[in-house]
Amino acid sequence: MSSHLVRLRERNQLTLPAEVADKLGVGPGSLLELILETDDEGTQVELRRAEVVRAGTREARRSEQRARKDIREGRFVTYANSEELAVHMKQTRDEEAKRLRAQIEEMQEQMQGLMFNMRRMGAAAGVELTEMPVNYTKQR
Amino acid sequence: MAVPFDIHASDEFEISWQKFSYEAGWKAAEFDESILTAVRTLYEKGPGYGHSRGDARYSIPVMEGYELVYEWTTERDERGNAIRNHLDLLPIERT
Repeated sequence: MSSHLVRLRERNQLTLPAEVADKLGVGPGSLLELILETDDEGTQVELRRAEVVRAGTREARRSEQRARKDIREGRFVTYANSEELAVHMKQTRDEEAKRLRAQIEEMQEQMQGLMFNMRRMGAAAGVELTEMPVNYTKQR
Repeated sequence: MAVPFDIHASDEFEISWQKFSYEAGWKAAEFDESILTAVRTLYEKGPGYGHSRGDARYSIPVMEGYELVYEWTTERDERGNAIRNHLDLLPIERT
């Protein structure tokens, strides 16, 4: 661990000591990130080198813009940690499964109603309609 | 040292998660787990973890074809002082 004393100039500017710049592998135009951490002992600053990579597809960029707008306009949910997010994801999956099961049951009821109506229509027309047997292939 | 922070998941994250889950099909559970693994790693390592995407924007690969993107934004007042940090999560198609 090494320590360097630097003096802040106007507009909060400072010069990064050459040794630090060399160790980080940065030079003019490099992007750096300052991370602030505050605890009982005060505020500590961590300096990291940041690398720039190309942005994604046009659709991805649009999606990121929408996400940024959501955050700006308060359309977000806050989770205190990753486990809270995990609980939310599981709950969403469970609710989705429940909704799909209900949809399937509703479709089954609709099918039964349709078959009932078809039998009635068949009876009125003098045509006997039977439900397709479960073991239809075996009967053939 | 990891910095404690809240995870702010935007509506867009939620929509993308649902959309990509359908695309993942029967691998949806694996997709969920890969997102959570990335978030847990991010939470343990702290802001700044992952591949940098410009100014304080990062991505972490999740299941093949997707990545988790988060933004570590420092809002500042008129004097340039930080007000609060926030984070959003977004799975996007990898280029």
